[in-house]
Amino acid sequence: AKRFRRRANFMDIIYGPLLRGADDRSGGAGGGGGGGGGDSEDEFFKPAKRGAGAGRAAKGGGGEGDLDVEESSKWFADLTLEEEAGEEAAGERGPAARCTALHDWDDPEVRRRIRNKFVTGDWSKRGEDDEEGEGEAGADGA
Amino acid sequence: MLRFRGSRYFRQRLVCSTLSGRAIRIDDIRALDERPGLREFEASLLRLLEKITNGCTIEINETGTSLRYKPGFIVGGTITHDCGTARSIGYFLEALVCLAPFGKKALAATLRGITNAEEDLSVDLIRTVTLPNLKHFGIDEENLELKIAKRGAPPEGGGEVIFKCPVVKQLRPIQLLDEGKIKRIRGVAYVTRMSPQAANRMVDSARALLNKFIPDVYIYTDHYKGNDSGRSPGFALSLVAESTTGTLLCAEKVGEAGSMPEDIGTAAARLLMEEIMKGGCVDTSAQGTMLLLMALGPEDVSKIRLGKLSPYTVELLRHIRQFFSVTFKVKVDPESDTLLASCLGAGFTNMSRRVM
Repeated sequence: AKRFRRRANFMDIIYGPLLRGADDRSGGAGGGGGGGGGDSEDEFFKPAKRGAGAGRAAKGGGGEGDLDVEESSKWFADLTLEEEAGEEAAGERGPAARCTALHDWDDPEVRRRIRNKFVTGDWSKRGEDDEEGEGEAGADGA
Repeated sequence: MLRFRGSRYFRQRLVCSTLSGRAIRIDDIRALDERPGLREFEASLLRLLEKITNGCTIEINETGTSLRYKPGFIVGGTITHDCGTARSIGYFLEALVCLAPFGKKALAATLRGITNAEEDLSVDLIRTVTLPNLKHFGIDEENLELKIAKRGAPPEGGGEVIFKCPVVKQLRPIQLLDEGKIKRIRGVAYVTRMSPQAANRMVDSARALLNKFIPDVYIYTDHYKGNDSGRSPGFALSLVAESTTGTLLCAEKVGEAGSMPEDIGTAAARLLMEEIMKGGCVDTSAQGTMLLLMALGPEDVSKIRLGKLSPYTVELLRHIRQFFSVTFKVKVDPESDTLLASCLGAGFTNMSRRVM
């Protein structure tokens, strides 16, 4: 969660590629770090294989550089737990990479963090954001 | 004319183009692919746009890799459209939801195809979440309706829905800032052409997780058979979390060949928890529709609290700026780790109500 806060300038991530002027935004897009960049010189004359198999991977959101990425408003998550890896990668990459960070809902600590989003949680004003403030005594999330 | 490259965000570009009245040209559509050019579902989307508008021109080159689209006026009216089986009905409905309010006549669209698929928002969630979200913009809820007449699971489809949407003169600006606390979870577990027991198995595994957080969980089980059940066996679970302020967050998982109902139930519940964890007044899949309609609002400030932006949303924000010259202000709210997005509406009014 802290990393999310540190990421200051969303305006630049969103509109930066536009302001840099190119209509072909394949290079500059914020989350393009991972999966993109398929159009290298080597692939000239070779049809790019993005048939049925590759399509789903691209949908995950990594490949903003892909000109032909499938479009969907849904959020695709790989349900294997990779919170740690995801959080680390998110520091370097854009919000796109962050999407794959999933939580382990069997972990009492994770459960405690979400508890106050529900009516059954803590209604006090501080309840929202007390990950550090709350002592161990109150941390019984299971 | 705005120019783009590639097939990505094809639907966004066409919807923005149709609403803004600005012509577009897209080149290099799958130019490097083994099967270059437009896909069947994209052609189908173009045909759908042709049906609900008047006077649009669509030019496609021989290989299908270049498209020139000059939008017409949105008419609406009664239409029937076969969505095919490559993408589900949700893909088309999401476009219609943004276009239909600005038609000349109320839209009554009968859409046939796949009702629930992994790639797109299912008709269940469009009915229970997308449409209620529209009421914030002043779209008359009474006449807004999505009826699921027949289920159609992938791959063969065979489903049918009827979407009715009234017209508006102008949208209202929105202020959706208080996400409230989740007070209940509702859901639909459907099964077609399979043992109805699968629905209960999905519900049980989803409840196992959800009930640890909140007791008020009710999931409706729906078993379709005979004529209403489409051409393929299938099952899916869609979940909606409702907060004390009336905001709706949703998630769903669609069963694929060989998947276990228990796994689908757990996966759907986990995805819903992820959406709740992200915070925001709408879930990830609703971001695009909400932001687009905010940009189309009157020249007044609209504000919304969002969780994390999806790549789809980020791209839509760029398109909104290109087509409507509306720039969103997006900043992090350090209090809750959510995003606040605000914009000054483009002052968009229904074209057909304008003096010609």
